[in-house]
Amino acid sequence: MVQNLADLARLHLPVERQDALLQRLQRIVLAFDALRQLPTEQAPANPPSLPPLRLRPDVAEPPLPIAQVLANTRHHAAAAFVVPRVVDA
Amino acid sequence: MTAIWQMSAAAITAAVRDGHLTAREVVTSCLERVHRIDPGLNAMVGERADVALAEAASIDERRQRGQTLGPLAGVPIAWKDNLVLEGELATAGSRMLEGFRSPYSATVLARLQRAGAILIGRTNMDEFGMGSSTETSAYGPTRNPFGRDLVPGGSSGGSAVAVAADFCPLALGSDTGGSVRQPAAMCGVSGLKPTYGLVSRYGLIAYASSLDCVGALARTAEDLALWLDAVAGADAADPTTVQAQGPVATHVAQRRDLAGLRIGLPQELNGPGLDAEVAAAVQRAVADLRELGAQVVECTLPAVAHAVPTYYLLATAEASSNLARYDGVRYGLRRDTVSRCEAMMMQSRSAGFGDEVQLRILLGTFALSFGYHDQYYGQATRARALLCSEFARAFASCDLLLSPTSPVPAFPIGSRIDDPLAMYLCDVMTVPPSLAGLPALSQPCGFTADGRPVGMQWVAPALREDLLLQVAHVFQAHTDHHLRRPLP
Amino acid sequence: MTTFTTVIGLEVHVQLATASKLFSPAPARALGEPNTRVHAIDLGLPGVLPRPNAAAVALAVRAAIALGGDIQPVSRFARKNYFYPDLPKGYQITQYEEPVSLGGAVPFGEGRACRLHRIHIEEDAGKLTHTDLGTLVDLNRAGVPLAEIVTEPDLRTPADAHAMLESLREILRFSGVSDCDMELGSMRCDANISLMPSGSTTYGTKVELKNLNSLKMVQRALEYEERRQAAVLAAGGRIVAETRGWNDEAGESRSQRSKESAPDYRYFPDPDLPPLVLEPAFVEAQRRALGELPAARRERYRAQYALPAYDAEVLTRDRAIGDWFEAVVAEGIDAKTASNWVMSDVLPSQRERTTPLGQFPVAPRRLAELLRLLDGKVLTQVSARTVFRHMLDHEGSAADAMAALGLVRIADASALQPLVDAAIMALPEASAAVLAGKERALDALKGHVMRACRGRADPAVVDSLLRARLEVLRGKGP
Repeated sequence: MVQNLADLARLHLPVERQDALLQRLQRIVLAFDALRQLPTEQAPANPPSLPPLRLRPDVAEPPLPIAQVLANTRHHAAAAFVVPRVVDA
Repeated sequence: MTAIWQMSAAAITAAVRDGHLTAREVVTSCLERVHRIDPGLNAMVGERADVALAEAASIDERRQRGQTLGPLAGVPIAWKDNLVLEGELATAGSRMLEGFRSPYSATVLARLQRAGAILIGRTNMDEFGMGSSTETSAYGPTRNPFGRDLVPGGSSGGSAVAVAADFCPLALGSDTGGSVRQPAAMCGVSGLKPTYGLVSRYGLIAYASSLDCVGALARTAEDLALWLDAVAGADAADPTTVQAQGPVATHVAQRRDLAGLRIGLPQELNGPGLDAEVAAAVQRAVADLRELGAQVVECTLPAVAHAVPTYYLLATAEASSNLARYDGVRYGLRRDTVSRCEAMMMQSRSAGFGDEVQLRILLGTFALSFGYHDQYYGQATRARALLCSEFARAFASCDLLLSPTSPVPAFPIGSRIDDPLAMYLCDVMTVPPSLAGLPALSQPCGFTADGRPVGMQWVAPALREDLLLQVAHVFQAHTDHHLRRPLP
Repeated sequence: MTTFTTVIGLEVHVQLATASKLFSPAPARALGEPNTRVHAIDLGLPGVLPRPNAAAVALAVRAAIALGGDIQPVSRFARKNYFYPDLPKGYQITQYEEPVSLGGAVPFGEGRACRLHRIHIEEDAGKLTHTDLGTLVDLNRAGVPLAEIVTEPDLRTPADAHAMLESLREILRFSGVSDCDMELGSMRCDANISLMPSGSTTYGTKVELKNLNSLKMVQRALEYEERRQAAVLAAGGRIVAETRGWNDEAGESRSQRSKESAPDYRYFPDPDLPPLVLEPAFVEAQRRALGELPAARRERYRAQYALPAYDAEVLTRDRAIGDWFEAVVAEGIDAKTASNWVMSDVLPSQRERTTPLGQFPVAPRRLAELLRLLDGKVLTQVSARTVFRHMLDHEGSAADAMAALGLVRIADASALQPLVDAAIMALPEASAAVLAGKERALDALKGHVMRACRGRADPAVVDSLLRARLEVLRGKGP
């Protein structure tokens, strides 16, 4: 189960750590179990939340200069980011 | 003659505007203290001395030319390493962002600069805001000036220490489940978490989007008010922001006492599981508040019993999504010794994130995953709504709520880090107002026998920071806990 | 031997015609060098937040209105979480449980329609280019606003799917919502196809087809897949639920990934974006901005202007063409005349010059002036075309053009008389024929006069001068 979550989260869990991590997770989930029993029919359907979405006028602004776009990585070629081969191509 | 490092932000800016002090003198004093004291505390992870001095110089020039100065002119301010400033590093306490420099500034920092404040450097934090002790930082733990073997609290431990050690009068933090309030309590300073949406999150490296708030730490309520006025209010860059309610600093000292104030003590937060000395300190404070004219009433928030699981399921769910961008493709740490993209992402993330972050990402992924989504994430959303309505009911019969900020005072470094669950349970006081989006303030209210600070937490209805700050100010006017300085 | 009913549903993504992106102010026209149309928000940098674009919402609402959808007063953006190098945040902001529109239908063919399931707004991903060095990532397209239009599985033949897509494209172009150009990528289509045993009420296993880059390709791929599935079933096999990529060169679909294990996207409402609340006034404003739709306009042109179906078809291919045509008619020109000229002269010239109609050198008013001269027989069809071509390259009125071209009709009798006399002298047989009662012979004489003055004589004046002169000559005798 932990392996499935790790795949979904793109985390590599070395085999020797999987058990310890699984135990920690299980302890936490178990401790949180009472929450599942909490009757929530009384919960307001629309809790006080955010003001309605404000929309921005459709005006194009100058983009980030290419030098800044690429500044935080050295993995780029001809202005594109480069990643290793994608399998699902 | 008060030393510069003992002056409040209000006093500093007044002195700079009047010409009694230059901004350069202030910043120089601040940096000198950092260089001398921080090596033993590790509160600061970076400073921008040259730029800060240049900014100070230009403020002094402006003053000499008779030009107007902003309301925080000359005040040195440190900021938590999860707020971005154009051209500066930002690591969020993580290896994942080692060496990352932001091309843009957080709105809150830009507003402070416009107000004349001088940003002097970044403070240490739990990695990505995930922790209550500043022990999960990739750059070493920060130490509590009240006891160097003690944690300063977290995740804004560095900022709390910066103020407690008097590096600067104001420091910025972020508060998702208590990360400004709890370190404030453990370090004997005040910490404000504003109403959710009152301060822009644009430029705050996200942990949990519906809970994250930019907050501040300082010694006095007045300084917190000055900070709030400079940064609060709607921001086009953050659609979750709300309009500011008007300045609060001018009214901070309005009350002489607390006559007419009804203070509610939620029974779920003021009884079970409290360290005896914490309970005692808060009880003495309550007695002080009564003497000042406040009326103390009992109240109940039953949903608090489920607040910690509710918080951790929602926060980690949002975090698992917010941290998905750290894949090594466009910035951040990349393990490039693999030949497939999917593997590259996995290796990079596993190398860049610490254990606690990985644990929370997995927990959050679980809460959202197929087959568990409604029982965990969905249920937590409903429990949150329930808690909101309970707060609304409580505020029908009282003006403010009060409780200890943390059930325990500062504990030894390394003593709780191996038991995440035990650590989470200590957030029981601070997470309820986070879930309800309400403003909350922690201020020192006493000390344990061995000199560790104890803090108490005020919670107000939404957008009533004015009330929080006025009441905190009255308490400070009649007590001196907030003036105890651990370091000369 | 079981017969099957083909069941087809389509998922269409159209890029909304906005100036900036859905959640960032970077330019939405995703052309140019890689990563030159990128904002910090599009890069998914630490600390950025989405800023939703008003025009994107407006256009999506217009699309929904044009397609008869039920606009939801409150909708919500949601996060679709997965990892891919063209997805900067590690999640796509889309709409899940609460889309902006439900239902609706796309009319096509003769009174038929394909029902819609829903329409929602979402952001586009970047572009990947696979090379030997690795995969290149260009984020220019990341964040461009899309409307996703999902149909019900109402289509029954690949040809119907093609016809429906053509109709959808016309409606969306007409509404100004999107360019809908599949070659340029502003319209993309994935198709789902299954075969249901005739008489059954349960759908068969469906296969998703991707990589369909033109309307014709959609039809070809569906036809292929229809045959493939029929063959599998006829041989007693089972259709695998999967995604198949269409390879147009090879003319076949190939399995991409099995759909038996669908990815877990862990959708949840995006906490950075409050609910999208659409006030009735806003929706009404979009309805008004939408104006008349192609089908309604075609109807009106046939009824109001008595135009034949073909004309109505051509004039409603584009809202701008119809508007232009009506501007000419508004100047008092007969509708059919105006229509003819738009179809055979204006549109071809406009296509040649590749200018939009709004910048066409001859405005409706100028053309109307020319057509009035034509109607008044001051110009012939041929000379009118000459004048028109001149007006394309020169400013000034039609009359100015006529003068510049030397086309002003000579109607002055004293100027024409010598030419008339010369014609009669030159063609004695024709003259005698006219006098003998053969009216037709007059044409030869007229032709002679016209040639002599390069066609500029007023034909009516030439006619009466010839007759008068011949009468005089009759009196004088041979």
